[in-house]
Amino acid sequence: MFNKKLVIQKLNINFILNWARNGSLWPMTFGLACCAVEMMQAAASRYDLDRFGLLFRASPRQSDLIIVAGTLSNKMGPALRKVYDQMPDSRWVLSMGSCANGGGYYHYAYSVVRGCDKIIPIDIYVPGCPPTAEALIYGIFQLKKKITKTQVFFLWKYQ
Amino acid sequence: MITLFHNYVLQAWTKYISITFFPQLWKFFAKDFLCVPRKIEEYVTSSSNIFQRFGIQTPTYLNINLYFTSNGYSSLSDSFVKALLFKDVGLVPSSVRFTCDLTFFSPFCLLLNKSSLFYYKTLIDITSIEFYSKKNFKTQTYLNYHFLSVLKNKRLTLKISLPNHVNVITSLSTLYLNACWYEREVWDLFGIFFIKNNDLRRILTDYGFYGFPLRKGFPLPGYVEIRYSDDFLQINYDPTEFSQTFRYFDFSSSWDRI
Repeated sequence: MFNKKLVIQKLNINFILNWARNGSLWPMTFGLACCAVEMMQAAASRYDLDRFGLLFRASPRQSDLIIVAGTLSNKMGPALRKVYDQMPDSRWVLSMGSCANGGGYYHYAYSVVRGCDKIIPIDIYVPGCPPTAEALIYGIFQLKKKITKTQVFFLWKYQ
Repeated sequence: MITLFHNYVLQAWTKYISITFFPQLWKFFAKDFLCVPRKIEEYVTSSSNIFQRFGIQTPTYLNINLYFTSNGYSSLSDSFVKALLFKDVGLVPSSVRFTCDLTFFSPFCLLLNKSSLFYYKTLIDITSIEFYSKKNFKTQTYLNYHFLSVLKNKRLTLKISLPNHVNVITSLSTLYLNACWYEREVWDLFGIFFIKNNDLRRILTDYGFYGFPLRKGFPLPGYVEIRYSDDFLQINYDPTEFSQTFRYFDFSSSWDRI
């Protein structure tokens, strides 16, 4: 009936863990500027992020993805790092919009961090000012693709 | 010189205070202290004639630039007094603009707040502008106070020019409670010090921020930027670095050189 070899290949621990992580990717609510409106739009009923297993959480302890949506100012930088440190492993970061990617419009400003990768390591960059909800969802798909390709044992070995 | 100045201010104070409690005395004192004026500009703007042709009332604005100066008194023009009293002007002014001298500032605001003639009980906003002149390489700071009188349904803009390098003015936080935050903001961004403001901290910029960012002398990228260091496991403040140099554009028109 079914290919026995294929089942064994699929049902390893890597696959199961990644499948579970993909299915319930709970993002931390971290909206900073107008990108956050687009993020809310993605979470609302038209582009329903619940379909992909994304439920916005209010606590970093319960979340494993943080979407940095908006301009990160110098004053907010330590707070972002603290929130990131409070998240349990395994965790992913999605940088949304050109301000979070590299300062963007405020690159030469005195009060803005030139890219939030100076504060936390980032997995996926979503370009745009602001990116549309579709773009954000596409970025999330890319992140999911990245998660499926990670090897959990590999991570355990080096962490 | 100092005593003369004080006498002068005290005189102005007494006059203003007496009027606040006895507004009927306005007409007697109006000749003395309100006045002046090297220059009174008065112009009325209406939106268009089409509305008036059909008898539709349009909002009119009466803008008056009044310069309170320390030298020279002269009687006011009648139209100005009427505009101040907001009575019998014909055109009902919905917004008035003043330019006030620094010495007259606090008594004038007291008058605006307490007098039943004006009753400007609401402070809408405090803004500041710094102009830079290329002729003498000096900056000139202005403060704009926006008041609202709910009772009279009138708005007033008070414009004050500060002398060079003396960025000090008295606080309005005793008269208007919301002035405290506005003054904190002006202090934060322009570095104008407000005397008698009890809580003059920074409000917007980072903790331990150096400099006043909206001044002309402040460099655009600032002095420090933050970065997380993996060695110390903390966020460090480092001097700003750019991988790319600034781009300077030549905005002068090529046609001007011909």
